[in-house]
Amino acid sequence: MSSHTDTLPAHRHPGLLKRMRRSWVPYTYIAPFYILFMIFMAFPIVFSLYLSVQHWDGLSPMRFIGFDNFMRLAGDPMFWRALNNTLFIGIVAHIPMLLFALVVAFILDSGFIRSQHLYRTIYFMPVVVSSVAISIVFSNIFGLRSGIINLFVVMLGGQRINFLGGQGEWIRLVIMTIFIWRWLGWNMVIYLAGLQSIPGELYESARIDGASWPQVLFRISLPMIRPVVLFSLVLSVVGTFTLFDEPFVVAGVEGGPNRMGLSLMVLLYRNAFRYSRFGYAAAVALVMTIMTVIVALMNAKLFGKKD
Amino acid sequence: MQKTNRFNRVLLYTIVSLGALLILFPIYWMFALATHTTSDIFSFPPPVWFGTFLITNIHGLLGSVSFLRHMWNSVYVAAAHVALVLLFTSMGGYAFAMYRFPGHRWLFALCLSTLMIPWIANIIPWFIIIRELGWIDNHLALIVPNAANAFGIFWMRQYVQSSVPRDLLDQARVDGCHEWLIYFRVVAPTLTPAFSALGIFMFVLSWNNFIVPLVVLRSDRLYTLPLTLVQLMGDPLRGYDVGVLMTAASLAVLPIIVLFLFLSRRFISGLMAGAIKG
Repeated sequence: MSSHTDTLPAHRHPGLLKRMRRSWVPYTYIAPFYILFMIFMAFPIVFSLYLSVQHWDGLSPMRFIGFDNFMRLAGDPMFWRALNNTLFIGIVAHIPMLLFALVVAFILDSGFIRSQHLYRTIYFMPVVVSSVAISIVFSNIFGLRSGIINLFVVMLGGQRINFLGGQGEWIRLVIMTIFIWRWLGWNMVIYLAGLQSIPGELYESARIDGASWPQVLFRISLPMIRPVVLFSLVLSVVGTFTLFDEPFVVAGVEGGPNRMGLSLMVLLYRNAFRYSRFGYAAAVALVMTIMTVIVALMNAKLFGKKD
Repeated sequence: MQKTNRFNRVLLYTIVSLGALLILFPIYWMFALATHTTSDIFSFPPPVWFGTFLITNIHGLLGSVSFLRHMWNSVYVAAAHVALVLLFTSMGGYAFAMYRFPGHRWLFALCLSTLMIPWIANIIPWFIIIRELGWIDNHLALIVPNAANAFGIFWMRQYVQSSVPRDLLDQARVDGCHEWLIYFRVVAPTLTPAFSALGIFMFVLSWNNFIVPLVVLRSDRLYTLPLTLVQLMGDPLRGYDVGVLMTAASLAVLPIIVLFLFLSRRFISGLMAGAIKG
């Protein structure tokens, strides 16, 4: 379509302004997005950069302080704790989630299971459940006195585990569990979609060639859904950089014992909206944005080489 | 041969069903705990079946927070947000699917690239803009800003490309329909399935949104349900009524689960279709 217009001879090619004027209909259709985008996304990003080099409590005049916010950030143990927690949760939680989501997707795709729709619905359900509500429920599941997990621990003859208290060594596990619970089904459904889009002839010819099921799995299915898996994994990892609801409910705004449940986003919220340190919080935001850009670049490189 | 097949099948059913039980248990337990008093909940072993105190808990809930008001706020905010999202994203998706105009390529690329940006990280300047607009403690801050989201435009463009025939547009032009009105007269009515799939998705996102109302809303009468739950948690050091809290959580989740069960097929297939094309 566009290549056709591109090859038109120059004298028949109307001027840019004329073509733009003629296209006023599509422009007005896409205008709402770009207007809202400019106001609520593009401007905040630029303004964020500006804020990160200012000292500002949100009300009184700003004061330029250069990289002081970043220096303070680098010397703040709470920031390193939050960064550590966020990366730990973001990376470790994805390993069991990815594996189990793949296994379930393969099983549902294999055709051995009759009620595929029922299982798909069940696994997907957590996506629609309020993260705040379910974090409250999980706080009870991991409760010290009468949580279900400790019920099993006691039944098996063990000592009760203080998941939410103590030195905070368990609180990241609780947050990871909630995260996995919420997003397992989402990822599974995406993998399943990938598997179901593999053309049947591939499997057919593999069967004729007498391939065993592990061969089919590792030679056909996995390579075919690799791009889908990688793409959703990258989006999911980036999503954990801004993890907020679960740590906020489970560990609170101060991050729980030894701040082991503090995430970067909670740190940002705490500094900006509880202590009015807007410049400092903007520096935290910039760190999160840089982390995202790094992952996006890594991703582009990974994809760029293979495809 | 027959035997190993049956063994395999049992094994596969076990894995998938065990996972399903682990997924369902927290939701089930939330509903079960909503029917117990706090002292029951903190007994050992904890209750795992339904009790008889649901009505008591509902009374306690209505007595301690303006639950019905907050639920209405959630409904109203989500519905208004969805209406705007569907209008803006379908218009945008339609324009990108059906028109070639100067800059359409990079405008669309720009739109897609915003998907990668964790916009929530920029909530501070975002908050300042909301303040400048006078939208602090105002539902407009929850309804308008994300109304033209990139995911929706992308998704609608895919849908229009794959299911709206170009002949439809040409026919409308021949019939003398004004270019600007083609979308509203001819195209929009054919998008109903896309509206319901994207609509329920956006409704759920708005209903469960936590950080934006947390940052923007100040007065109790404007709260949405996630804030109600945090309000009920109060000061954890003084303890809170877990039975009432679970009742509130259940009532906040129940409408969405019912909606989801009715529309799950369309909801999930919509996502799957989007995932493949993406």
